[in-house]
Amino acid sequence: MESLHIDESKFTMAVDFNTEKGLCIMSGNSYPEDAISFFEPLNRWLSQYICEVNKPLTVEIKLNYLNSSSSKCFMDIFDLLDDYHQDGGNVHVKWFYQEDDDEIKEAGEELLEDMSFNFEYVEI
Amino acid sequence: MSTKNCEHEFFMSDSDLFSLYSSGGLEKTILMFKGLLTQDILVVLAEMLTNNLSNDPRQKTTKKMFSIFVELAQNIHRYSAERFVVEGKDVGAGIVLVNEFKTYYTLISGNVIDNEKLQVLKNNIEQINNMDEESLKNYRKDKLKQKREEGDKGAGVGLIDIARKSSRQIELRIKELENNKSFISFYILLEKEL
Repeated sequence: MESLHIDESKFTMAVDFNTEKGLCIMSGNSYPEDAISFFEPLNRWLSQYICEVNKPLTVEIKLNYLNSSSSKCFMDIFDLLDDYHQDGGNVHVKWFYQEDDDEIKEAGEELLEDMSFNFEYVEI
Repeated sequence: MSTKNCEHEFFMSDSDLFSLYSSGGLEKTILMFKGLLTQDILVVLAEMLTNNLSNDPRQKTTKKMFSIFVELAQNIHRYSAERFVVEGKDVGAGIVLVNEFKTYYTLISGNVIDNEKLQVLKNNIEQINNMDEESLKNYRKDKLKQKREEGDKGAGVGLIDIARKSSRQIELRIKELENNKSFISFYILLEKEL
């Protein structure tokens, strides 16, 4: 399966999904007006990885800012990963936040707190 | 001899521009924009706004300001009844105004909407304004888990996020216009956090 790479813009994050390593890294800002369109390829790649590769997956998220519609798209991704984990998949999510950045830390906590897969918050 | 005429009826009179200019309170306005809220313009305005906040060493107020501003602007983009097509994209128009006072900022946004959407908006604001922090947090999570309505690009949580980050209740003002439309404006107060 091919890897996915999306370049960073001022309002959309960089995505580096290495399907060989099972590592998906997202970083930057996320406040596109149309978040659904931006997240669409990422969702497609994750679904395909789960169906076809079916190996352990680590997701690292390093955000400066995310808007409300991006939050909903992250919730969709985490729900997908939660299903994968409940079906026996190995999922690990790392949510990074800058020291003192309560906004991003809390955004992550509210998205992840009910998930059944492994996750951790990492201060940078 | 010049053939150019100076026909004043093409323009607003000077006093109209001055009343607009002074309406924000001259010295206090840090941003005023009326027009199409495209993504590109939003990026420029949001960066400009948050680069210029004075005396915010820990960036607490700046982050809240950025967030409230983006949600207000994207609400205009999505829900304004004044719409135009720019480079193939459907964009909404409106106005945003940010003023600075000694201990707080005010953010005001306004746009035209169809009257049929008014009641839902009023109910939504009333519901949000009557919630405490814990209920807002739970309400937001329910909304994030809910299925999207067909064609809605938003998450339905923008106003909840504004309410959680601002320092007072959201004030909604409504001015009825002709043709089943109204001008709505949101008044948001953000206290400076030092």
